[in-house]
Amino acid sequence: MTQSLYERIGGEAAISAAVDVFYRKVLTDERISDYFETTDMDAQHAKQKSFLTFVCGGPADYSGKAMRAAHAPLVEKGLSTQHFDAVMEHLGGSLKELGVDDALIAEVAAIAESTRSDVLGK
Amino acid sequence: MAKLIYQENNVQLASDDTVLAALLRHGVDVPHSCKTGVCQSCIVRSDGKLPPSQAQTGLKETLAAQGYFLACQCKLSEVDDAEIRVSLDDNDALFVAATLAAKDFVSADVVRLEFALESSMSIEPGQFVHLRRSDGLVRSYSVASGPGATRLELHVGRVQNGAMSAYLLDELAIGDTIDCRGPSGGCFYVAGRPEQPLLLVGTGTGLAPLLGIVRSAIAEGHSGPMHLFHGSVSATGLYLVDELRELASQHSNLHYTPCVDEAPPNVLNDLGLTLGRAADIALEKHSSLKGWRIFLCGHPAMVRSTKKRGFLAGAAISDIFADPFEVSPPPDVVNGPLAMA
Repeated sequence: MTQSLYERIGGEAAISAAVDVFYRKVLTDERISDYFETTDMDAQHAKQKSFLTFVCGGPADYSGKAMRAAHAPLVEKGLSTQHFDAVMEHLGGSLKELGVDDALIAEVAAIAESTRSDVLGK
Repeated sequence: MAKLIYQENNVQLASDDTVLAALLRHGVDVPHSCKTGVCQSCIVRSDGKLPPSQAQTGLKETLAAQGYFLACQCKLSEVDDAEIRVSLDDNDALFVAATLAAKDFVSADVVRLEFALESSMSIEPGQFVHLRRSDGLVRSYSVASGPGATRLELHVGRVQNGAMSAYLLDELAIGDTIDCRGPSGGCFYVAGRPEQPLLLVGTGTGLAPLLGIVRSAIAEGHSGPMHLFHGSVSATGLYLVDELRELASQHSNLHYTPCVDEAPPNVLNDLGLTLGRAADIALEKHSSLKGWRIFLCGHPAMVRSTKKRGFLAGAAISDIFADPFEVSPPPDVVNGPLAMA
């Protein structure tokens, strides 16, 4: 039986390692950091973890409808395609930094890309 | 929506009511303070069915299993059963009597209190306990005493218009008792990784839990460096400076830096203080925190911003422990933020 993408990436342990790297990148990128501003870092961190789990093919409860609703206030504040691109860049960069194969990163990117229209409310 | 039964009476409900809001409107004198689930003042017990789990967040498992829950966090619309019966009668069993054994003004507006507890309590230094005055007023204070201490040490700072702080500073005398319940909170030292560098930043009485954590780490044989930064607006707000210097001289891996926002040069020199905000000084000196464990206690804005800065400086989120001291609104303010002090 072939392993799932999530298993090939390394499962929960790999996601745990990736989430700090990824979250740190988005928080320090001035193009997008405002959209990640929060008073509750732990909650925001948990959200990033479920996002990463989802795009890595893991068990995460992510529906397009919820994605759309959750990002609607951000779209109102100007969230647009270049911000989405920046997040994609950090997603790939984080996995690369952790030594994930390019082929696997491409699979992850494809799943993340599939959320674009819901995230941007298009 | 579930019915709410108190002392065999049906309590009148409004839509979106919490158990706390309904009981208060019904005229039940439920102790309460923060209404956000932190201070745990409004603990009540369900006489039958278990309440929704989110109303038990933060409670010890033993209390949750007995049906205790936080009235402010329980929306009647979220109760699955047709009715919920609540009682306050068992709450006295949660508290132990704490007798004041020592009282020591360590600065003009901070008092160090040491209590003898009627029965022992399993407390991790750095957690907080809840004190209840005879009229039901409840406030929370962090624990400074180290592991194995025979007395419970708390530091209480004067809060403007603070009812409990005025009582503890000005009225409570040696030999007096007050009810104590606890502990709560997850900001404490866990043994393991003894070589890990520790960064501890506190403002005001945020020193209390940090002192508890340092004492814990020392008792566990922590071998990595421990950098403690204590900040205050002015020199009069710092306290235990000599004791901490003494402790640092006994433990070569403990480094203590008292900081003030403002002070004349001669005061800085005479007392050996560093000028600047404690968090700024700490992060200037230690700009790369990869692999560090961080403890932050005191002013909520300082705690929040330093948490972020510490994370961006390389510390893992799971290695950052924080205890923001939210101040309770005075009793006549109905909707305020959290409750502690």
